[in-house]
Amino acid sequence: MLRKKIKKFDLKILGVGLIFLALINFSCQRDDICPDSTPITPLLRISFFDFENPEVPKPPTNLRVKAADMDSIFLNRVNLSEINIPLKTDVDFTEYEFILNARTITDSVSNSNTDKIRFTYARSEIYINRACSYKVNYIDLRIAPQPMEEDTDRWIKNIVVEEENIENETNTHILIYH
Amino acid sequence: MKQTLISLYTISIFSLFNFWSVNSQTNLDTIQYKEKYGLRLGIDLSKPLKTLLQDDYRGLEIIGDYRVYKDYYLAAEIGNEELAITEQNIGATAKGSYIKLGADYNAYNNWAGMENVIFVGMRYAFSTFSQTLEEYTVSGSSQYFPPNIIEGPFETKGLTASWIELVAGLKVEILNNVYLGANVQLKRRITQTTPSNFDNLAIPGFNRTYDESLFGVGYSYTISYLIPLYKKAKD
Repeated sequence: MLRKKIKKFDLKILGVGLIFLALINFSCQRDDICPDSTPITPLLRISFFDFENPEVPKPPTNLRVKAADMDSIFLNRVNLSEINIPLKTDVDFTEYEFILNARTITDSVSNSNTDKIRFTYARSEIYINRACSYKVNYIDLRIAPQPMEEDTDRWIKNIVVEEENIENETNTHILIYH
Repeated sequence: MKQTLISLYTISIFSLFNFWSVNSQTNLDTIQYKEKYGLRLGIDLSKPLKTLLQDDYRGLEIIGDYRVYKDYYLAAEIGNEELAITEQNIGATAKGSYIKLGADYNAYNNWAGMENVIFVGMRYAFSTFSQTLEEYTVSGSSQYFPPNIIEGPFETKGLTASWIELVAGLKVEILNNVYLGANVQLKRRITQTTPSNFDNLAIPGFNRTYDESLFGVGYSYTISYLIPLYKKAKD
């Protein structure tokens, strides 16, 4: 009788213990890394169009993209009609150089042309979860090209802000005509 | 003839044993073992130990139970904790006090004269605390710009949480009236208030929380002293 009772109880304890272990395991696996599927700070999505034919996408030739205050290059000599670039999350502006016909190291002939654009915005920090921490959404995006006095030879003819609030990367935020 | 004698002898010995054992059993039954009833008070040993060993932890918990009827005990815990959670991209500290109220059931049928406890129990727990966001790194899909690390502390006071706990464990009498114990707890949150635009990464008494889950886990190693108030025969 006594033994039976102990045995029965042991099984119960074991059961509870197993549930505990399972729960600990389960929870650890879920929380540790930020999954790729979670939306984090979005990139700025830019589409290039033909200035003459505004409906036609037109990739700039050998485009180099680089933040004005960074030594490293973000994109080098790409020929894409659509690019995604990061904006700074610690200040309310980011200045980029868009270099058309960017030269290679050995090339000193190509007629490269640098246009600067300053993006200004407000930032809204949003908590995601313990693995992904916070993301930043950009609000009220504005663009300011370099003044004509500083750059008389521009390859970018027109810039349109399609979406002022940058919350995801599904839609184009900026249209550049050249 | 000889064989019959031996068999008779054996039978008589067996019957004698039998008689003796029956006799002793009746004797045992007639002794009335009285069990102690009283208030058992103690502390969770794991918390002061963790306070000594871990830089990011400080805590103390007082435990108590009162034997109400046979195998049933009223039980309570009161504690104060400061726990830090450090994840890869975020760090936070929870600081506050908690109380747990409930009952235990002793499922162990003791040998005569022993008073150990193997119990299952339930608690309602309530905590008031503050949550401090110590530091975080903004998550971006590009590593082009240096990581944006924002340092606090940003403290939110006056937060509360409540939860239900299932407890299972044991208490063994190692010296007269002195008990060593261990238990595990499964917790399920009922209510909580969180800082705005943030979450509770830990709650005093509940331990760390899990994203998208209301459950939590915990354990205790206890030492307690039984203040015997009266004795009562075991059935």
